[in-house]
Amino acid sequence: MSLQGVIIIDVLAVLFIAGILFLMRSGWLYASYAALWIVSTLALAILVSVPPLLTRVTSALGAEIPVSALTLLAFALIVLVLVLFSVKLTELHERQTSLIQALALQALDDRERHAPVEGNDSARTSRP
Amino acid sequence: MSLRTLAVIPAFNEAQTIAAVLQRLREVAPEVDRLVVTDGSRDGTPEAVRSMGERHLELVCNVGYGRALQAGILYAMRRSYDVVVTLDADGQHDPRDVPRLVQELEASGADVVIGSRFVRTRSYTGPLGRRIGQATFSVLTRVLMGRRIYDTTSGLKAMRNGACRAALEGRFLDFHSEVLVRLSTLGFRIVELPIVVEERTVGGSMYSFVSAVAYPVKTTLFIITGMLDAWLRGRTK
Repeated sequence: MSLQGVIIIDVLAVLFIAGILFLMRSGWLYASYAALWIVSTLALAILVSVPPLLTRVTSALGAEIPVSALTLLAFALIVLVLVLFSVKLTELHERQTSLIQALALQALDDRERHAPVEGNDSARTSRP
Repeated sequence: MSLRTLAVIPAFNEAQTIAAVLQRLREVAPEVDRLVVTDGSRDGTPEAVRSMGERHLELVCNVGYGRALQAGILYAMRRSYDVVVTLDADGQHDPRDVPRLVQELEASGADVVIGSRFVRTRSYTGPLGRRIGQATFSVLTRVLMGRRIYDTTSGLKAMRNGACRAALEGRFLDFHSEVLVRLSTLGFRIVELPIVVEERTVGGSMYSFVSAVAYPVKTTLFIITGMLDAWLRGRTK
């Protein structure tokens, strides 16, 4: 990669990391996500800035040119992040569902404590 | 009927039918307690249930059929009911079948009794796509469970306390094949009892075109993961 290309990528990486830090400081981004993006960006910047390292990685990945290796790595990172976000969304959805269930059960408990009859009443008469 | 029984009725936008279902259930099975789970309904279902003085769990958002049922089962387990009977709020199930299912549970010693539209009778027809899906999952459960369940998608089921507790441990889409395969893998005994259902006359199915396409894929995934989970937990009740 040309020196000009390396400089552009490194400058973009610095700006990107600054942006991530700003989002984290503002409370718009959790530290764990910020860490993920910063580590990924630093890894990319180092890889591009150290030609022998990029050559070795390219060779290790079986790519013929560095751009192919970088594209593959970027694609892998995107897939990983998407899976991670799917997991997080599922976790949030589960928590939301559990909260909705707990809220409804609590409300029914309160109603049963204060109002004597809802539907048949064998449950209450036999409750300890 | 010696077993304390709770009928759990999940209802999503069923304001037009829920009152009739509850009234009929009161008349034909007064010994059975009732719990309606209004699953994020926006059509006045909670108000209709409340006006009848019926016990209900009001879920503020729609969480889906399976999770709404689980909320009702959780309530039943906290109140130490012996049996939970699930039935649909759209009026397709005959409330007279509720005591029949419980009697079959007592007589057969089974853990789960399914009100089946297909065993012995072939009265229920329904749309072609749904029948193909039902047949597919019937075959799939036969392969996985080693015995045939004719009606894997019936919403009318009676479950003993132990099966209910096991059903609370998993995640299910609609409490159909996926819960049956899981319970069977855990060693619970499942039997079927013939029932006759009515075609719904009011409102529409809870399955849109998209969900009808996604349903078989999701259910298959739930079956596989449920079986794996049951195997990892051990095949004992």
